[in-house]
Amino acid sequence: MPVTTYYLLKRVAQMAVALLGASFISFTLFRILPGDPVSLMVGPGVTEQYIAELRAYYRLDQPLVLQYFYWLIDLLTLNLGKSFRYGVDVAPLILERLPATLELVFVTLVIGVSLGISTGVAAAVKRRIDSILQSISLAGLAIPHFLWALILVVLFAAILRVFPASGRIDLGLEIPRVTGFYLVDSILAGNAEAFISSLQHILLPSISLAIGMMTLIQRTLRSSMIDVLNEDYIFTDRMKGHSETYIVFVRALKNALMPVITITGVQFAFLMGGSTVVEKIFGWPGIGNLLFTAVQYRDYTLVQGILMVYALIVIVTNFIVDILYTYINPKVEFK
Amino acid sequence: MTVMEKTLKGSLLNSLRSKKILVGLVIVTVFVFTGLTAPYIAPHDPNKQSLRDANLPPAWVEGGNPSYLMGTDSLGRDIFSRLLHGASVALYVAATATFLTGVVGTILGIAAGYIRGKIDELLMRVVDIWMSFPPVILAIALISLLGTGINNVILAIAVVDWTRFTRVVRSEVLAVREKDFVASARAAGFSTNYIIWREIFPNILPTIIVLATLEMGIAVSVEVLLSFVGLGVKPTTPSWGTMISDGLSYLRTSPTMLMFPLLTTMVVVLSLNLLGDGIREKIDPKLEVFR
Repeated sequence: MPVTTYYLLKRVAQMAVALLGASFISFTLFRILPGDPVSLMVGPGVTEQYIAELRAYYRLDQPLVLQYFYWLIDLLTLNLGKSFRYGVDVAPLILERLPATLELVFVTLVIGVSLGISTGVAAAVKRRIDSILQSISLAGLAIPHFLWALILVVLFAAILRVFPASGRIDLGLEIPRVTGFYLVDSILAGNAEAFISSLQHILLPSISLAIGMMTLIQRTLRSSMIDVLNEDYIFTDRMKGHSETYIVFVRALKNALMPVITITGVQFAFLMGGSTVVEKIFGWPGIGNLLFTAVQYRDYTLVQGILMVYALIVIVTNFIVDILYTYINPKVEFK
Repeated sequence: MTVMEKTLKGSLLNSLRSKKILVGLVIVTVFVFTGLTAPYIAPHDPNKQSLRDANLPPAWVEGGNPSYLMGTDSLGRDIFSRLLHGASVALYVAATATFLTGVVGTILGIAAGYIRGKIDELLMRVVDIWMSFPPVILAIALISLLGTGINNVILAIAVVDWTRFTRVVRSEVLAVREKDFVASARAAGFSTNYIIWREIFPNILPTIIVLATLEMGIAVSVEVLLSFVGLGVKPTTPSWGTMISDGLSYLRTSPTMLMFPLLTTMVVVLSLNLLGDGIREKIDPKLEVFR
């Protein structure tokens, strides 16, 4: 077997183990706590027989190990159970909201990564910019996503009134659902008005999520860039008379980006977490908002399902980042 | 004065020369003082409603009442008094959650780093899996099971955040245990317990202090976040989070209702981070504590 195939298989196996662990934790969390979920979901005046039926339906009358086993099989077949509140399957409920969340996260990544890289390079090359960025970067790291979201709402939606405060698109505008990503769907439909409207709506929530990531990338890239620029091959490039732009953006950046890829993967989980509250603040109809509704109505199957979807997104993203890192960086050995 | 005391005094004075530490320390001191004395210094009962005095602007704005320094909210409660009491809540959560998280995380980190072997492998696997859950989401899921209330908020923070300590402490212990003085202590036949607490612990203590300071900042923001979405303290407890969420509904008519708790939270969280980052720069500029 070629080394790379072996490496890839090993990573896939590791990902499977991580998913199994995540499923185990989210299963136990909802089982070890005192209280029977059925008694929480039914109201007063329900017959004992109905409760017994419900318990049998949710397999609560079986041993824990078997319950977990059944739940795992259900997970694999994407059967996440029925929502207590909505009375329908959890999986389609989540899938319907998922594109909104993914679109928000994707735009956040584009903004965060591009601004992070450009300011990081600027800080490494220009002293003046560096000292300004250094003094404000701690705020970017320390202040959580939801506080940025509130600041932006107050500033741009309430005081200046230049951006809408909530929703994904102006009321009354409709676009046919193809991908579920409004920015893509509006282009597919050739609807410029809808595109601009959804862009306006996504800007504030994605910026409030992107600030933390941008700062972290900027700080990481700054220090790795300074290291790389002091290496011998850069010196050789200068001797050869390459332009400074070429040296910085092509020769140095390629190597300096390595730690940035790792840090983006680590940061991703926090971004997903922050997105829930940001969705709530901006009335963004994604799975974060759904989570709050589920929690409010004590809809445990839905909460559990959403928890697993978030874990899945984070684990798969980290897997992709890992693979990307290995393939871009020639120094990594496949072990 | 012994040599030890001199060095300690020197390093304390020296650390005050760092602007980050100085600014952070001043504001954090004010925060801690306010949190401890809020019931005595607050001019009004934070929950006393007076619809006649509802939605008053700050005292220095026209129409303000000098008795209500920062104005009142939609139920006529004094914003300034609520902010002071909110500091008590934030401080209580920050202190207890950080203590709990720190003790659990540090013990597990030392176990993994010093004993190594199977325990280390198992713990690091668990840490990896734990960190694949976005922390905010894990906290929300926990609260949905435990129910709201200040003690459950503290518990949720500890259950979610112990990995931060465990990871960093473990790698510090791994570095320290290879040092000569640990080897000689082992050769001299000292017990494992003695080596851990007398030789290793003092060397990782500065790192733990940095982590704890930053953890307090996280705990404050998690408490505010959970209370903001209605999953934190009880609605009757004055918290900056509930104040912010109340204020959001009156954004257009009385923006001060939102601005004061929002700015206070930001300043406190930022100064805890300034302090933590300042100490980090002093002890080990290469230490990776921001995730």
